[in-house]
Amino acid sequence: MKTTSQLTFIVLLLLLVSCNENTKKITDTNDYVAYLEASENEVLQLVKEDFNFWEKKLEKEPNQFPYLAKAAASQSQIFNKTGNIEALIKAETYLVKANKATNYNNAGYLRALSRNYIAQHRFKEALLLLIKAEGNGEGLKGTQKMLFDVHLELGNYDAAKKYLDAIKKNNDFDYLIRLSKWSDHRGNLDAAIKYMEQAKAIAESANLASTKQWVYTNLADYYGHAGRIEASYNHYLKALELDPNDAYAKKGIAWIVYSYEKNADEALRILNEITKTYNAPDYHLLKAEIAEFNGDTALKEEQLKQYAAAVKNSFYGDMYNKYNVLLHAENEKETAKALEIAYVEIKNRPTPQSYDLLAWTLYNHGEVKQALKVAEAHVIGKTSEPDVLFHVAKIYKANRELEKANAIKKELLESVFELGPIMENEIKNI
Amino acid sequence: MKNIKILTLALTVSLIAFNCSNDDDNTMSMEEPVLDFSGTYAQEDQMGRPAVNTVFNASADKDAFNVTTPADQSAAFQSKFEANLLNLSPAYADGGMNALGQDAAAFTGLLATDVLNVSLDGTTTFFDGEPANTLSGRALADDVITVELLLIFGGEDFSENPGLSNDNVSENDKTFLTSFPYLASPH
Amino acid sequence: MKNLKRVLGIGVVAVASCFVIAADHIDAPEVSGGNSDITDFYAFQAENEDNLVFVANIQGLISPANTAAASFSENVMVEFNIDTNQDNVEDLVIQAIPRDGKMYFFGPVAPSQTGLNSIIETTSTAGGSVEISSYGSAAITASNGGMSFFAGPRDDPFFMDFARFTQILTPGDDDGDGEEETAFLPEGSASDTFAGTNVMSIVVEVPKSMIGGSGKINTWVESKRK
Repeated sequence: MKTTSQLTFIVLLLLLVSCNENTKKITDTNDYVAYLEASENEVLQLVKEDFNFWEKKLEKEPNQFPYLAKAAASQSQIFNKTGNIEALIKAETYLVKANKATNYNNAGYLRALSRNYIAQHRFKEALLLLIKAEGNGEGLKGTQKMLFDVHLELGNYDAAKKYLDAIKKNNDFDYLIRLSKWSDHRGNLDAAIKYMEQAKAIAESANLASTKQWVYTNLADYYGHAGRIEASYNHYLKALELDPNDAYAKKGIAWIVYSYEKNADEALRILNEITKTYNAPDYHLLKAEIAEFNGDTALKEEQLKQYAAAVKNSFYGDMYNKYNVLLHAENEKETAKALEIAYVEIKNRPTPQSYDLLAWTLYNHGEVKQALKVAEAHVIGKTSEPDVLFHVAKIYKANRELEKANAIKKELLESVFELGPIMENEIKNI
Repeated sequence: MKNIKILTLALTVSLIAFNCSNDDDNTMSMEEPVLDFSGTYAQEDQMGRPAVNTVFNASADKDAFNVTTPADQSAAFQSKFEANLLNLSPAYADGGMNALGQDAAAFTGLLATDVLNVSLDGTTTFFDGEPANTLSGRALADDVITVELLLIFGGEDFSENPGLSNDNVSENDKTFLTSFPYLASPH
Repeated sequence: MKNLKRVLGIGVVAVASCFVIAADHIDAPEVSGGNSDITDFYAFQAENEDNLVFVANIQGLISPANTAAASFSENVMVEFNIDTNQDNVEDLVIQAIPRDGKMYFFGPVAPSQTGLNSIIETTSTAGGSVEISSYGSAAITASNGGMSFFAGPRDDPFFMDFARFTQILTPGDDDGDGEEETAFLPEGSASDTFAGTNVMSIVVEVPKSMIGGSGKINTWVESKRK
C-alpha cells in the first residue's frame, strides 16, 4: 500500500514537471534502442564484399590501376564504419600505388590520397598533394575545396579564406558546409548554424542518404554547442534513421545522456553497445571520464589503460597527439613527454589549439609566466574553442589576472554542455 | 525496488507522451505530393563522342571543356587538339592523314565539336567498315576505342603503328539485349 | 556526496569531452561530382526501326556489392540535346530528373533557353515517367506516347583497356617498370577495365518523327545541377 501511494506520488510529480520547460529529460531509450541492437551490420558486410571484388580483380589484372583506387575507397569505408586504423593505412597503401601508376598526374587520385592523409592528421603531406593536384588542374574546384580544408587545419587562415572565396557559389553544398566551418572557426556559431542549415536543405532536396547523414550529425554538433540540446538529439536520431550503425550519432546521444541528463549509466551502456562494432581510442577516454563522474575509479583506470594500449599502435601516428598531451600534462613525471608531443603538434600545425597544448603543459609544470606568454602570443583572441578557453582562464588565474579569468569563466559557463559535468565543476572553481 | 523503478519509468513515459502530445497532431495528407521541378540547372558535365575530353584535352582544360557549349568548342579548343594530336601520333607528321582522308587540322576540327552525329535513316554505328555508315551513331557493341585509336594512330589505311591502334579489348563482357532497355542486367 | 567529492577532486580525464562535441571535425564528405559525372553516351536505332534510343550512363565502376546503394541525385538533371539543323545548338531536349524513386522525362521539346543553364520543361506535352529499377529485381520499363523509359543500375556496356590506354596517352614511364608504355598489351593480356562492373543508366526510346524524322542530327548529353 505504501509503495503504491509512493508510486502515484512520483507519477504525479513527474507529470507536473513533464511539460515544464526546465525539464532535463530529452532523450528516450525507446527512440534509439533499436539502433543499439542493430546486430548485423549489413552495410559493413557489403563494403567488405566490395573490397573483395576489387582485390580479386587486382590479383588477376594488377595493371588496372583504377581498381587500386576502388579498393582504397572500400578500405576507407571500412575505417569509417569500424574505426579500425589498419583499414585506413591499407587505403593509403592502395592510393600510393594508384598515384605511382599514374606518375602523380591524376588529380582525382592526388585528392584521394590527400583525404587519407587528412584523416591521419598528416596535414602537411596532404597539402603537398593538393598543390600538385592544383597544378594539374583537373577538377580544380574540388581541389580548391580541399585546399580550404587543409589550410584551415594548418592554421593558414589567410590561405584558407582565399580558397573559400575561390569556391564561392551560392546554393552549393560543398561551399556552404565550408562557409559554415569557417564561420565556426571565427567564433560565429549562429552563422555556422545558418549555413549548415542551408546545406541541409540542399542535401534533402538531392535526397542522397550519405549526404543527409553527414549534414545531420554536423548540425547536431552545432546545435549542441548552441545549447539547443533537443534539436541536437533529434538530428542525431535523423542520422540513425538513415544509418542505424552511425557510431558518431550514437556517441552524440551518449554525450547528451551523460552531460545534459547526467545519466552516466545509460551513457556508458550506449557507448558499450557502440564499441561492440566500432572502436577508436577516444571511446576509452570518454568512458573513463564518465566512470570518473560515476566515482568508479576501477573502470576509469581500466579505460585509461586501454586507451594507452590502443594509441601505442604506431599506425595512429600523430592522430591522438592532442589527447596524449592533455593526459601527460597533468602528470608531473610526464611533463617532458607532454612537451615533446606539444612541440611536434606545433610543428605539424601551428594553430592556436596546438600552442594551447604547450601553454597548458607549461602551466601544469608550474611555469605559469611562460604559459601566459605562449598563450598571449599564439592563443588568446585567436580561437573560441571552450576547452582552450578553459586552459586560458586557469593560466590567467595562476598569473593573478582575475578579471580576465572571470570574464572567460562567464563565457565557459555557457558551454558546460559541451565541456561536460566534470569540467563544469572545474569551471565553477576558476 | 528495481521493478517499481522500471514501472515508474514506463508509466511516466506514456503519460508524458499523452500529456504533451497536443503539438504534434500532424494530419496525414492522402494526396499525391506536388513535385517541385523549379529552379535553374547549371551544367557540370557533357559528352558527345567517347574519350574525346580524355584524349585531346590537357588536364587543366578538361573542366572548361565540360562547360563550353558544342557550338563554341571548336573555336576554343581545336588548335589545342591539333597540337596534342601531332604530339601524340606520328601518323599525322608531314601531312599524314587518317583513313577518313583527314589531316590533323580536319580531324581535330571534327572532334573539337564534341557531338555525336546520328543518322535517322537506317544503320547507326560509330564505324562498321562501310564508309557510308561511318559516324552515323554509336551502338552498344561498337568498339569505339579501337576505332578512335585507328583514326589517331593508324594512318591512311589503318596499317601504321599497329601496337598503338588497337587496345585488344573488342567486346563487352555481357551480351546486350535485343529490345528495350538494351543494356544487360547488372552484375 | 561521495561522488561529488571525487568529481571535484580530479580533472585528469575531463579531456574526453572535446571529442564528442568539438567540431574539430568529421572530415568533409568527398567533394561532389560523382553523381553528375557522365561516363558514357550512346545513340542508336531501336529494335523498332522507326525509333531512336538514347543512353546516358553515370557513376562508373560500381561493384555488384555497391550497386544496391547507388542512387541518382534529385538535384542533378540529365539532358539529351538534339540539334536538327547542323548548327550544334540544341533544337530539342529530353530531360530526365528523379523524384522520390521515379525518373521523370520531359521532351522532346524545344528548350525555353539553350546553353549551359536550363529550367525543367514541365509544360512539355511529350514525356513520361518510370519507377527507378532497383538492384536485384527485373528492369522496370514504362511507355507513354510512343516513348519508352528506363532508369536504374545496368551492366556497364563500355569495354576497353582503360589503364593501358591512359598509360600510353601519358608520356613517360607511368607504371615504373623502367620503360615507357609504347604499345597496348597483346590479346589475352589486355583486359576490359569495366568487366563485371555496373553503371547507373538512363535509357529513353523515342520515335524518330519526334526528333526530326530523317536526315542527320547532332546529339550530346549534359548533366546539370540545381
